[in-house]
Amino acid sequence: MEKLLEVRGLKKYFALNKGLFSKGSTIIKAVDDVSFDLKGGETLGVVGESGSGKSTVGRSILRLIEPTAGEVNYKGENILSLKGESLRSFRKNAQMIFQDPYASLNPRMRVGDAIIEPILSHNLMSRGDAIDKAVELLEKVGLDKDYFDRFPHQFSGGQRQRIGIARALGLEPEVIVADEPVSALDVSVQAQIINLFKDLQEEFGFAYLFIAHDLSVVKYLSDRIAVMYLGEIVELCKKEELFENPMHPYTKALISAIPKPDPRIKEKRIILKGDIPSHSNPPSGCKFSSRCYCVMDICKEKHPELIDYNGHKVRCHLFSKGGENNGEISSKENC
Amino acid sequence: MGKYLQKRIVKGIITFFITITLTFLIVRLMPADPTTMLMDNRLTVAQQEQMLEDFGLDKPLPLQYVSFLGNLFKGDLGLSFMQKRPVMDIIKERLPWTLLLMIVTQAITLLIGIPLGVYSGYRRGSKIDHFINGISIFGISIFVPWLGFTLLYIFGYQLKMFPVGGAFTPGIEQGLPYILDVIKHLVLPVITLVFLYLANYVLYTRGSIIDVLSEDYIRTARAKGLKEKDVLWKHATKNAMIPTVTSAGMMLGSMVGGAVLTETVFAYPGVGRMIYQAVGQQDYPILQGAFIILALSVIIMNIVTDILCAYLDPRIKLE
Repeated sequence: MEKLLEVRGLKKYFALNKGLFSKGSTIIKAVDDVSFDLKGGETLGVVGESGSGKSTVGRSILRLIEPTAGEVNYKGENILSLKGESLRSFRKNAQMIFQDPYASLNPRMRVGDAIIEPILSHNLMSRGDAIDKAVELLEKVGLDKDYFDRFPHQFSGGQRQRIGIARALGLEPEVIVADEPVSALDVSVQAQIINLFKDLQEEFGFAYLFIAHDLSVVKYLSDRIAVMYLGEIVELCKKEELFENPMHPYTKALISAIPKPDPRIKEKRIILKGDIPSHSNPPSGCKFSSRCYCVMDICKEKHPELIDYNGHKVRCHLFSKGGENNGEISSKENC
Repeated sequence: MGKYLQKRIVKGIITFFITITLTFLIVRLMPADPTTMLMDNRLTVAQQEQMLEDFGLDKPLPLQYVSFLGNLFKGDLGLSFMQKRPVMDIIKERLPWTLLLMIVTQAITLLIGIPLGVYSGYRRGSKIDHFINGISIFGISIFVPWLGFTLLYIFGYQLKMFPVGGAFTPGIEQGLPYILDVIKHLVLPVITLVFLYLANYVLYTRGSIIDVLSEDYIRTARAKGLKEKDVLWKHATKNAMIPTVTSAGMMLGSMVGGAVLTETVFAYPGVGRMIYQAVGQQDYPILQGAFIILALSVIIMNIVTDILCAYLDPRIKLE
């Protein structure tokens, strides 16, 4: 499949002012050197704890926030250099679905108007056609066409997220960035929305960048998964590979934390110590070294590179040359 | 909607009764009555008592209250002590001038204030923002008579561009010349008042725009690929208007009370100057009448504002 998006060396640094009377600022590296590809029609899941920078990646590639450095190529064109009208027309191709379905819809706008507004703003069709299209989209996401004239506050969270999806589909984008689209919803509603995501992708063939902190949600939807920690990708590979053969200790800990529906399965859970470290003062060397249960001396000195083992990318000294496994994939349990 | 309106009106009527009762009592607590006001050596005791009887002031307070209410519903606000004319007639003469002055002022202030507030909130922290803020704070802090007299001195006395007082020139009484004359008389008081009221609209709108711009749905609007001007004026401004509308409603309600200082400086024949004069002459029936009209107008404007807010924000339910 053709590459739709090529993200190279994406960085987003925030300057944090210290206070009213002290000069100088701390640099927060929210996203630090993130690279990945997104192919047409595929789903790339991005997982990580709060503060791992996954939402910042999603917003940066749509230019909702300005990245500090890096390249985002959409069909070969670097969208980070787009300005004004050309940026606006790029947004036709890449739409976003937001986390909070309550806050992300304009409370003063009827949902039908919210759906047709982008279509009209990009001059894609006449008002009459846009209305027909919006009605069709409402039905496609499982809402009644009579809801066209209602206001957002008259809907439940799940219904509002459906509206958000319909709105994103209106422009027939090729890429949809979904930023934790189900984490604000009840579990039963989550399942409906995730299935809707899957059905719509089969029908329209767009690519998802699906951001979540819940591995089981990502597992169900994704073709490939990127695991992020403190602004970096620590592991990136095909979904099956990630779950069958996780390499990074952090990924292993995340996978062991997924609740198992069968109480008879007794699996050791890997409990990580402590919280995610402060962005302004990350551990030297490997950023995960402060919480890693396989930590070695080298981890505190040298920052590991993302190394590619036949398409399974991992950033860990266990697998680098001279490390414990000397560049080989370990078969030892846990480490 | 209908039920909400009913409830709101009943509440308004109760408020109105409380207000007029308080007004009635406060005026009776004042140390003067028309006889002491018009105290004259030539008045005999019998004449004084006759006068009190004429004004109905010889009866006990509850009876006075009942007749006060009765007259009120007939539209009778009593007689002015000084002018010996019905208060209603005096207010009817003054009110149109005040309404003209205030409506023009508020319209101009809204037209200037909202865009300034929106722009200043959008460009928060910029030089333009600081400048707009500075001007509005200066306007609201300035001592009105000083500004009024300065304008009068420069444009009225020195440059002779505008008249130095009044609302019209006696003698010109109809047609286009009359309209132009009235406009000329309006210019300076309106400038003074716009300056005074500007901060209300600018600062409310600015604060509200800053809040709204950080809302998630603004990010959604940008992600849709809307033009920035649509994001700002369609999505942000409409949502940010509620505090501005509320404050405008309150100001419009109190508008019939006129602008006491400004009207006095410009010798403008409005309600504000009437209140100023009535205070000086201890003409309580006029004050009482002015307060009642003011209360009524504030209450009505509050109801209108609530309905308007419900229209602006569909989340405010009218049930």
